[in-house]
Amino acid sequence: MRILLLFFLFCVSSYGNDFLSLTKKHCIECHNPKKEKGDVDLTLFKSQKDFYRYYDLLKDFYTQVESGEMPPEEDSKMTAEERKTLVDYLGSVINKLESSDSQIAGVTRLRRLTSYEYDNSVKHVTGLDLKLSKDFPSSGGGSEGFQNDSTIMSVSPLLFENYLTAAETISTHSTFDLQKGFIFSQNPTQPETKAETIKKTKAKMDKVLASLYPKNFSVKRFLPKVMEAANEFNLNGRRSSSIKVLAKKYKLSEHILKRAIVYFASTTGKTIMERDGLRSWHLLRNEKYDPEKAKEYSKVFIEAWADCLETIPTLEGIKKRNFQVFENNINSIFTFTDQEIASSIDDKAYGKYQQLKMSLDFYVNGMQSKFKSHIARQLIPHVRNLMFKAFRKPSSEKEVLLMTKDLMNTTKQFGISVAARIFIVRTFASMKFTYRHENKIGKPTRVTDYELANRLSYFLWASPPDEELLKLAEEKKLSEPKILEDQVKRMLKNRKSSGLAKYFAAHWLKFNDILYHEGVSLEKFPMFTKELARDMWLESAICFEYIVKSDRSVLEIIDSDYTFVNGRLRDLYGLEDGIMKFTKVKLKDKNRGGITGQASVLTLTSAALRTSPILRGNWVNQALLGTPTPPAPANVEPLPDEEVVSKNLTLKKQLEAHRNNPQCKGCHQKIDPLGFPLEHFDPIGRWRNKYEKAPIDAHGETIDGKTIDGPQGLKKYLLKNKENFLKHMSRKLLAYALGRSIEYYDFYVINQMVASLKKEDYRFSSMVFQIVNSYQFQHKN
Amino acid sequence: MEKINRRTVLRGLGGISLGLPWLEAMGQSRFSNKNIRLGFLQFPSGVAEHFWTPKGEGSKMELSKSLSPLAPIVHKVNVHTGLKHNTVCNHVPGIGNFLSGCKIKKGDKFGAAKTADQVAADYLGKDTYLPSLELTLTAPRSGKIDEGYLWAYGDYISWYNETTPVPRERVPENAYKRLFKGAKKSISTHSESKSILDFVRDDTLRLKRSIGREDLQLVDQYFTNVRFLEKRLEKLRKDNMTLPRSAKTPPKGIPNDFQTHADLMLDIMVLAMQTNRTKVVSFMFGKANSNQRFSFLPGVGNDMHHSYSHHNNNPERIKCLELITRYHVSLYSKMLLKMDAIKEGDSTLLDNSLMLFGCGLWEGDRHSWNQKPLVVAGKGGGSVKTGLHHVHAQGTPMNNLLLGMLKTAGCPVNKFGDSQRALI
Repeated sequence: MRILLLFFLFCVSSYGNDFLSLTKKHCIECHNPKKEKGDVDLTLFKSQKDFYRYYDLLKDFYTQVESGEMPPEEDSKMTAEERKTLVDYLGSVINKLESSDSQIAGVTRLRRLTSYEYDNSVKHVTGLDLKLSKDFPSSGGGSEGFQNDSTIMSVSPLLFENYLTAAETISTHSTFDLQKGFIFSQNPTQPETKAETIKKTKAKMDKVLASLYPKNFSVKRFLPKVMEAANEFNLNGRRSSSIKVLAKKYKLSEHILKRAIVYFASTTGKTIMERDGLRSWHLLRNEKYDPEKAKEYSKVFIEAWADCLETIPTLEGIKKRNFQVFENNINSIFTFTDQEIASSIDDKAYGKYQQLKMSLDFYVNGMQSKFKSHIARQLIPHVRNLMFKAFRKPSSEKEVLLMTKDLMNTTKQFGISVAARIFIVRTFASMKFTYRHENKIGKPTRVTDYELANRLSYFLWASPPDEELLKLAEEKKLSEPKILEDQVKRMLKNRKSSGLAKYFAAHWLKFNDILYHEGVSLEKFPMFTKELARDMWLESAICFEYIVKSDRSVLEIIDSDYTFVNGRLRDLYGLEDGIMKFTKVKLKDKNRGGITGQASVLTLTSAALRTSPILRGNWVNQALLGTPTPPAPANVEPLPDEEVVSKNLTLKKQLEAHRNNPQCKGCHQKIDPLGFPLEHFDPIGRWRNKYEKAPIDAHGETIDGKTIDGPQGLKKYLLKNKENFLKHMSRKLLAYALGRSIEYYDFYVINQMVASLKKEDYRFSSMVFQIVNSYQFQHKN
Repeated sequence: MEKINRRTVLRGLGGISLGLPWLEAMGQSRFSNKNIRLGFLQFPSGVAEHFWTPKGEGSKMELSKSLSPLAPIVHKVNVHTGLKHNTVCNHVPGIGNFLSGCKIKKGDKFGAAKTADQVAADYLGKDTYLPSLELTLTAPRSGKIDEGYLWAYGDYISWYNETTPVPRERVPENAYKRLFKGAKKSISTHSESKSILDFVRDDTLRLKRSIGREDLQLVDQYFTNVRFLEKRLEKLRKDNMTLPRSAKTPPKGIPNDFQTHADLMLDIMVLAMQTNRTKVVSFMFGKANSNQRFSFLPGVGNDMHHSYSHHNNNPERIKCLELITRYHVSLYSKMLLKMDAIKEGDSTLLDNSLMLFGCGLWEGDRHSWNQKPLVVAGKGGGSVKTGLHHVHAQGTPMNNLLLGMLKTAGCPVNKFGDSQRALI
């Protein structure tokens, strides 16, 4: 495709000689590497290739020459014929470049989640709206004005720290369960310590085995009973039949009693314990005592045993070890073997018991657990699932295994609860979460279906892909044109497409600034509250959202017979219809409909005490028509603070005087006529029929002598020039979708978008389809 | 089995904060005389030129109207007149290159240069808790201005390198927490944090295999950030600073009024230097084309700071601009007095600092940058004579002064941008 492009350039290069000689004659003298007047060096165009390398410069060059702005009359006289030759040549180069499908994806950099994308992505995994990004350092946007521009994204120590803190916060909302996996809840909790987890698990095991033990079982309480029963058994002449009777009598299970008898019978009676009470242990051995004596011995023994239990921590070395052996033996009287358990409880309970036993071993020993492969089999689906949700695409099994292993390793050190939290922190601090990662192989390739799902959903929803998209990606069906189209339609109708209003339209049309606007004099306009500012923002956002969701004509951005107002805006606009809540109202007044009649924009383009036709005209040029105006020279006289300075000296008159100054004329001819028609809207967007002290003149006169009269006239003018509007909007939407600035090879798509809009009744979806199907949207470099 | 008791001391990443007060930590340390703090403060929109420059040269300096708030501390202040950057420095690029003097590139991608404070951070920040601290009162913007510069140039005075502006804290509470984590309950213990960072570092390294060349730098940056935090974690572990009694956690959120916001931030900045949490700070009072209003100052109208700078020689508007500038100087002066009240052995914090205060633009109405309004306070550890008005030959690079500051603080640099020699 590049070859084709070069071919085009070759075709037009027959004019190349004229280009060289004309620029040499009229331009290079000032615009050379040494002088770089106005920061422009036209010698950069050395060969055909440079036309697309310095495409911005080329377009600027074209505009300057075409408008007659350059070369300046006093420096170089260019004949009309020369100008036509140069303009035609540059125009043809631009035209060729913009109409050929060069199939270049451009630089597809890792895109960091913007703050709102970050919050939405956290919500996608946790189901919680934690709004953590509010503590991140605020970042501006790229050259096209959008925050999602990858060109200027970097991650500083400060931001990384914030990511880590946010990930830690997320982890406090999580708990982990071996069966259920990671669970997120609204209220943060403290993690369990390893000891707590072990204790809890043991308690659970006891619960399962409850049928094997009497109520309120504890070793300490049951040991005397057991000893008494064993003793009675011995006294009774050791008849096996009496076991059953004795068990019943002492409310013990037969298993326990049997074990106790065996234990007491087999023990040598020699304890190495130095304690008196325990030394008398041998007296209990396998002999016949009268019950009273046995009771006494038991009492002494148990007291001594309990005493030792209390002092375990202070026992030392061999003493401690010996006692522990001894104690284990005692405990083992009350412990059941797996077979015993299996035969005593039902299968379900037994399964549960087995699971708890393995879990317990894992909680204690982590990766060194003898059940590690069994536990790993249980962990892997949870790990895989969380990684899938957080990274918004499947991870390799190798990666899943590695992360699982790490989780198991940290379990031994910290306990499962903290280990799971560390896992959560690590996942959310990963670049695979904080950035949108696409697998690169070093040459241009189609994106995978999963990557396409991500590109789509962050574009249309500012959020991660939902289950339906991910399922289609898994089946590799999303890239099928018909399915892709259906999905785009579905996504645009979904409530999440409000992301386009909030993060695309609000920045493209610049009404987002109303939320932070402090430029209104509150003395003169006390009704301009934070709430009203929010309402103004909402009106503009909802209107755009309505066009997106109902797939209406984008020309309704310029003019419509409806808007959305709540009580406050209804009163501001002086409407009769409408209720307190935001609702769609039909507008009888033809001046109000469309973005140029919305209070957000009208307020933002006003000074503190008066309107500013210059700011308004400039806004119309920049936001709607995409024709930026050069900056004002430094030392110009400022305009007065209020519209009417003295009788008959209106702002307009003063501006007209200003326009007679040749230094100002060129630009203000383009700006002012687009601002004055809106003079009927006051600095906070209310309708007015006159200034306080003078009548309003809402006429603007364009360079070619046409009159634009009032808001309706302006809208008519804009609709007549809709080509510019459509092109500009397409450019902005494409830049937003790709997350980068626009390059020469993107104009092909922009032209396709405009053509498609015209064919499809200007429906919003038609531009989206063009973007989604474009080479750049579906390829990575 | 290791017991984790999180009810005990707060440790770790989010753990306590403990920097050492100067006396114990630094009294006889290896820095002894060389524990110099550098500050870079910027205000926007230029000055009212006839009210800025002091009368008289050298020690015969008589403070001008705009500089009059410096009177109580003038003996520790030098005013520099006649310095400039030899490239475009109007509202927007004049902020982006204020501390580097580089030529700011137009276009969609960043093209600035590493700034003096970040050079200082490389050397002076090696052993401190934070290499440098960047604070601001304003938020950055999107898009390009009509001349073709990204707005962001007007929003950042500190740059890591030509393509990366250093993001700043704007919320006092967040800045405070970052410096003194003990103010906040910690989430992870030290060993937990260590384990987390290990994992994140490994994850980042593994990711390197599946990215494009254009993103290598980005991933390396991420990696560096992890390493950086790891180091800081180690520092924290050995750290046993106690906060000065004057320190207190700021209120939540961003204060509504400029004065409170500025006071809080400047206090945090002084505290950071006092506790040696960092030795390098940068501070922005406002951004290019500032829309800040100062109608709370008696005599100043309702227009924005930027609008007043375009006064077109209207005396009423010049008066307003001058009042705004003087107000900024008064905030600076208040901060210097605070620094001078903090004793460090026989000298004061201010004696051991060099605090630059200035603006990229000289005169906003004509966008003139043929000189810059600049003040440097502090004695740089005793090596700088103060109370002087230095009048430099026209066209002397401001980078000479930046180089001088770096050298005085002990940075081993011999050239900075278009500097010719060090001056201080």
